[in-house]
Amino acid sequence: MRNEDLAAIVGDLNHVPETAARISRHAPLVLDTNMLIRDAADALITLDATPLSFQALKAECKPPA
Amino acid sequence: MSQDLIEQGVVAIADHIARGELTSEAVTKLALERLSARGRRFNGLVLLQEEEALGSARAADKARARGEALGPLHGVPMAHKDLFYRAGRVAACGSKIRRGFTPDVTASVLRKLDEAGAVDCGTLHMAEFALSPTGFNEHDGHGLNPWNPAYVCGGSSSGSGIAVATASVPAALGSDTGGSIRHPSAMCGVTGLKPTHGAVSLFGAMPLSATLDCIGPLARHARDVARLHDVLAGADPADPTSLGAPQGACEAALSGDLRGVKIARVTAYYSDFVHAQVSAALDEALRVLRGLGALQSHTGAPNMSRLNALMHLVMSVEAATLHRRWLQERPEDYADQVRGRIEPGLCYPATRYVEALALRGPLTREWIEIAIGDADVAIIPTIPILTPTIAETTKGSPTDIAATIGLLTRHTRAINYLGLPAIAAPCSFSDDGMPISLMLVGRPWSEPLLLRIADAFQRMTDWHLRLPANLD
Repeated sequence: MRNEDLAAIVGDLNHVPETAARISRHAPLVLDTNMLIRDAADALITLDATPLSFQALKAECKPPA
Repeated sequence: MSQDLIEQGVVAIADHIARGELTSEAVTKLALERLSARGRRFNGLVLLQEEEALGSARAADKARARGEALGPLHGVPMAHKDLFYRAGRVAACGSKIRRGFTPDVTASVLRKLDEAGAVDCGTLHMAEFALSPTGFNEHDGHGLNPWNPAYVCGGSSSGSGIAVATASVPAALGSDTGGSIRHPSAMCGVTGLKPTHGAVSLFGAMPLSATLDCIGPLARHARDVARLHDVLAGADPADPTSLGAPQGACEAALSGDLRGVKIARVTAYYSDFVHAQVSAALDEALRVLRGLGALQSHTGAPNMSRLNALMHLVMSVEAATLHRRWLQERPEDYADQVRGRIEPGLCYPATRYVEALALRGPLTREWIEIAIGDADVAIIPTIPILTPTIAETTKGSPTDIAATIGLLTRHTRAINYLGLPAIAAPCSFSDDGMPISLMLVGRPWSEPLLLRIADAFQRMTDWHLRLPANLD
């Protein structure tokens, strides 16, 4: 997708037309971040295996009150 | 090293007042004078509440004279970052957009401080909407570092760092979404705690990113931070995400004894880009800690690019959700640097955001296993580089500025995604006279241990007692 196309879609969906004109400058960061997280999710999240939640980890570590 | 009243800190002031050796009115007057002079000189002050503070101080003195039970902060003057709401008091949150905003609720953390007897002297400088690690604020001007006003003071809780470093108040609250308590603590040479996510209620504090936001104290002494965290921590019905913590556990843990405590020095990602002076300071701090009985191990780090990306996505998406209407209606009222940190959040698909939240548990577990390993805590430089000048973070090419700012947050920002507690404490000074800081990171709810280590270190060193020259 061209950066300008991404900016137009984002601007339209969020109804921020002035911001949309600036979005293309964020495109490299957004595309890199999107890829990193999508890849991590591919490796860890499936229909049958939801990871142990952050709340569960905190509960596991919590000392008795 | 002789210390005046405010330099002695929260615990000492509360003890003096409880014993009748000092009135709250006297120490509050001193705090107000210093906030007015030193706070303004370094652009750390937003609002001074002289009448209200002196009224509270006199009431505290009368309560003591009547023999009433005294709270752990009875009569102690403080001031706080300008994002903690107090009903009827303006909270501009460092922004143009919220200039004149008067909330009708009081933050749970302020209520808890009130109940513990603290005196609220006013509000302190902060980065616009808590979105800068340097103390940059286009609307209110830069916060200035008391050690050298040419250098950045750290943000976003900039005024809190300034007010404590100048001994204007013995302690101040800050908030931390990617390092905003730890940056000013490190750059101003004070001690600051970012607690476990959920340990302290967020109700009535301006939100930036509820998944990452934490509230904690900045003070000169770790023992003061311990007392404050004991007051602040605990479940709050007004914030369903807050969780209980053992009451009084932090101050009670300050034994000065580190025998059997294992500290992991984390290398790999956390040793790349570390300045030689910072690395030497950390080596020396570890030597002191070993002398107190601590054991040392060496560990590595997991994929930090991924963790930093996750932190960025969660923060920007949650901030963009809160700011979308203003981005639509008042885009010109944001500083460009601030707006640029929120806007990417408009771009991510909802699936990435949900995945980022789902990955938080397993990746936190992974970070603990790799970076802490079989140790009790990890030790990391709070900031890998030496404190930059204001010019280095505002002038020059955008690429160079972004690189410098990225290094300032390199060690702090992922810790918020991981939700782990971390304490920043001064451990040396650079050749150019600026503070250097160490950061201890623990497992969830390990605040008592982090504070025990920081307090033991401060019993053996005087970095936290030093004061900038020429304050008056």
